[in-house]
Amino acid sequence: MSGRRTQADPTNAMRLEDLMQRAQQGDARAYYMLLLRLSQRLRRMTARRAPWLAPEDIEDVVQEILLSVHQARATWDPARPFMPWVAAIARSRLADHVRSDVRRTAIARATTDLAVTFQDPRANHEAETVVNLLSMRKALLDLTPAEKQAVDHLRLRELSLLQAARTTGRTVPAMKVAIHRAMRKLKSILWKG
Amino acid sequence: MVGIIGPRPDLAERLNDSRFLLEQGAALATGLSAAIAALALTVPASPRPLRLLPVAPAAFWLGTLGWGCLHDARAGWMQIAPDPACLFYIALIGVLPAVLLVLMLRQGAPLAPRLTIGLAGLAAAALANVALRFFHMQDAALMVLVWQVGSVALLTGLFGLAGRLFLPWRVLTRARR
Repeated sequence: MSGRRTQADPTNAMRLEDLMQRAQQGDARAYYMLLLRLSQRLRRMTARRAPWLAPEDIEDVVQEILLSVHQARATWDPARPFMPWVAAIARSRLADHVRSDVRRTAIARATTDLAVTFQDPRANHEAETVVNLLSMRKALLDLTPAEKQAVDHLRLRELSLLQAARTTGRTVPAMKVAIHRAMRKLKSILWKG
Repeated sequence: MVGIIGPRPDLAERLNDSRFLLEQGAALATGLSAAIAALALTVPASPRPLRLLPVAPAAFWLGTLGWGCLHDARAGWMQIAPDPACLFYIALIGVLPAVLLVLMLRQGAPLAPRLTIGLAGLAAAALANVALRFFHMQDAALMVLVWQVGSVALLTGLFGLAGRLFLPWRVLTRARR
């Protein structure tokens, strides 16, 4: 290749094509220079193509493109121009990045909404809480005293089966049956209305 | 495979039949052009029209079979029966070219993994179909169209869906090696 000048560091003045050709032949210094100069160009190219990206995201994309250039380095034919080859890789990687970014943002947005709904009491409508309370109270009316007691001990006070059995003076299997029937009844009443 | 199973008994006769040769030629051309298109897709900045290379031979292949269907229909042979063995054989024979192609494609850049692997699937399945017809006695155009081309299309679609699995961009640690 022509145009190679001898200077203190000859790689500084070399064309990217020449650097890449040397890199393909195993010249580590030329490869280092190539990636250095390429990263500056890619930063500008990415910022121009995707002006909405933050500087750190642009850096991510540039690093991904450089890694891909490394992976695909054998596919460049020295007889062909170098920059269109890089640009094709850059386009593909930028598109991949934007795609995954859109997916990530969508998931993040969805989970933020969930967190707000479940964690912030103010986000839950007050009337909803009142309705829930009333319907729960109404549903409890339909339970037998033993079932009500089981709900009270096992679900509201969160006692263990053994503790609940001891305090009520009943057996563990009896508690199990009572809570099972109570939950089934509550479900059928609440889910219906 | 053809060697193992043995060629069909009427192979010599078939080789003199222009319709058989035309269909086989079209299938072979489809397979080869799909392989070339797939390989071209992994070279960044390769000419874009290359990816459309298999369209013409595939259209010609379908055309010859469609014409064969009409011909058979006039002769009153138009009937269809289940022949799932085609799918099995095409998948079995196609494994070798598919593995070779995928290994070659992995040396390139996965710029369009789904299309690339889909084309590789088409190449492998079409070549397998060419081999299949050397030992499988099935020449009714409609049967070939439904069961053999159907199998090729199915395998092509499945390969295309698995594109990103076969052709990922390597991750940081492996690329650094």
